[in-house]
Amino acid sequence: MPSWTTEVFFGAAIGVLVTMALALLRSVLGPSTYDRILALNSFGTKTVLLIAVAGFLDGRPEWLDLAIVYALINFIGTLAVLRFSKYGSLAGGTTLPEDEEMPERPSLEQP
Amino acid sequence: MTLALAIVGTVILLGGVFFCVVGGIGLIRLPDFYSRCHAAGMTDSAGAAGVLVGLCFFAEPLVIAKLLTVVAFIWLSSVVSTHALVKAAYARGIRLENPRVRDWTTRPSKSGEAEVVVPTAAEAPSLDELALGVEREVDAAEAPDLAAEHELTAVTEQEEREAAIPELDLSAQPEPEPVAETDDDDEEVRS
Repeated sequence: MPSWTTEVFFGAAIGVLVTMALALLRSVLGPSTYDRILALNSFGTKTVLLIAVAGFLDGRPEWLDLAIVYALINFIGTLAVLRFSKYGSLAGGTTLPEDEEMPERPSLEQP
Repeated sequence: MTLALAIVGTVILLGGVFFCVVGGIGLIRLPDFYSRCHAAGMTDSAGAAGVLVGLCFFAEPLVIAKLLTVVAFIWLSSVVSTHALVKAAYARGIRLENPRVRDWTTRPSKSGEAEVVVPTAAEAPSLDELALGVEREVDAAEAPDLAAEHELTAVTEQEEREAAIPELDLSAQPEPEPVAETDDDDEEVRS
């Protein structure tokens, strides 16, 4: 392996860090909640990339396991936030047999 | 051979980083929520895949398998989460800033043109209101219109059916037809 790979990984890590900073800026600026969620999702994906690149930079590609776990957590977290913001609770949209006397939630769909 | 692999990997890796940075700039500069979704989605698919596939050229076979697993998972989950995000945002009333096309998801009116109802982001209920179950008043401009349309079509279909009845054998079954007509009528109004 040539000797300049460390510099290449370093440059890639810098680029991913710049992108993470931009996504963080959008999550601070974002006018609506969905802009913030979008920026957070993008930030999580860039974190996966940063972990992978940093593992190669350090000569320890085993950090990819952390990247896989982080990608899973990021996906679940985004869906949880979206579910909360759509139904008003994390259990929204499901009807259990015991919940028949619960009032119906107001419909959010536009006609 | 190793040098050639390293050069190819470097090109793909830096291409992925380029896509990431461009997507980040688009996330800041694009004017609209849906445009920003485009920027973020492009970053997630092209940028992440570029970086991870570029790293494959420097790795051992097991690490390559892990990298490709991460690529496949990101390609699945990013698409799904972006879709869910856009759908939730649309359901909550976030619209384009300056739409140049008609909104095809609204129902066409009698004149044949789609009526574009563009609620601003301030009109959508906030998270707190949603958690407390506060019900906003819905813009009542569309509902009576739809009801009138349905009644109109129902009446015309009923008239057509009455006009078609004498051609059938009316003497055999004089009674049950009005009942059947009202049933059909109700279903049409409900649907």
